Amino acid sequence: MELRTLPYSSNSAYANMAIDHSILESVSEGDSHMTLRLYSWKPSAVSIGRFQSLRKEVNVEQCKVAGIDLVRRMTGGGAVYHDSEGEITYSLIAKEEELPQGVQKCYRYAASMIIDALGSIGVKAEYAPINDIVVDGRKISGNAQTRREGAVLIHGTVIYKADVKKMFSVLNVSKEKLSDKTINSAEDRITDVQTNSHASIGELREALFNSFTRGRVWKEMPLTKEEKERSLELEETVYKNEEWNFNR
Amino acid sequence: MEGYAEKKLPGEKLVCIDIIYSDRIEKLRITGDFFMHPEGLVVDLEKALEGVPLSMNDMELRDIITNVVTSRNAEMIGISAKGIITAIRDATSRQVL
Repeated sequence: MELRTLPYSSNSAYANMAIDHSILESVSEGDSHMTLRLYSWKPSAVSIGRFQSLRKEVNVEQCKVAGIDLVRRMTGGGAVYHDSEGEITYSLIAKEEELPQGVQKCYRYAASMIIDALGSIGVKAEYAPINDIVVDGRKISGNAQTRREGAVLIHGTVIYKADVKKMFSVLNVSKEKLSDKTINSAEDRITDVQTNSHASIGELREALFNSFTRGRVWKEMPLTKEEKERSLELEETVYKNEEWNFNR
Repeated sequence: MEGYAEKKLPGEKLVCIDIIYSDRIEKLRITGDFFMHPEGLVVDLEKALEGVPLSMNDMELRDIITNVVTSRNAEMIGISAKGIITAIRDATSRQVL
């Protein structure tokens, strides 16, 4: 077996980030194979990048009112609103030598998988370096990665149905951030699968799965006992911890 | 004095600088949606720049940043020495009351 795929699941923001983290550790230690995860977030959540200021990027009070979880990722990049019904997230965890060499090449690789998947459901998307995928200049997918001891975690989202009103009620977008964009309104910078295709969210999920597994020998397997235990530990000690989430 | 600035150079990510300064950088926090590998680089950069006189020219500040990146065999993506320095200059030219 070359690639382990995990069953699709919906989890809290804290569990999702802890699971990705624990798999990165187990792949790094040689205890697990290259792994593909497709998942969603329940309840809806905002994740922020490793280097972002939570208070500057996110309307924390609005999140509390709306029951939206907040979590800091172990990866860099920007703040993302993960609607529980409106997007699919993937993570791919592998040894460095199993993926194209270098950070930028890994982004290009992941982007090619997503672009192929979107193409198969009728969405013509293109890579927008550094880490975005766009349709007619509007973002449909964002991606981020980190590395630990010879292993790589790339994860990202594909927006199926964007609730832009809710998205921008919880995300603060600075004017400076939009300064080099041709589209000036943050709301107009976003698009989704539903606007560009008749595919269902299940078909999007299947397309992503097919694209990431194409040409690989894969087998669906659950998390190992050790990964489960470690992810529960990371969930409590890191991802639910305000010291981590508010540390910048 | 305290300062804050956001800078996004073309093709780069957003870099935000929170700074406490006198004639030198007393405390610095670099945030934004950029990438650094390894992630611990950001704290090393902040530490390396704290204590540095603001009278230093951009070339000298760039050398400090480059030395930290090189010594850690690190990689910055979507953020550059120029972006950090430009944001520091902006933050120290506009005082937060």
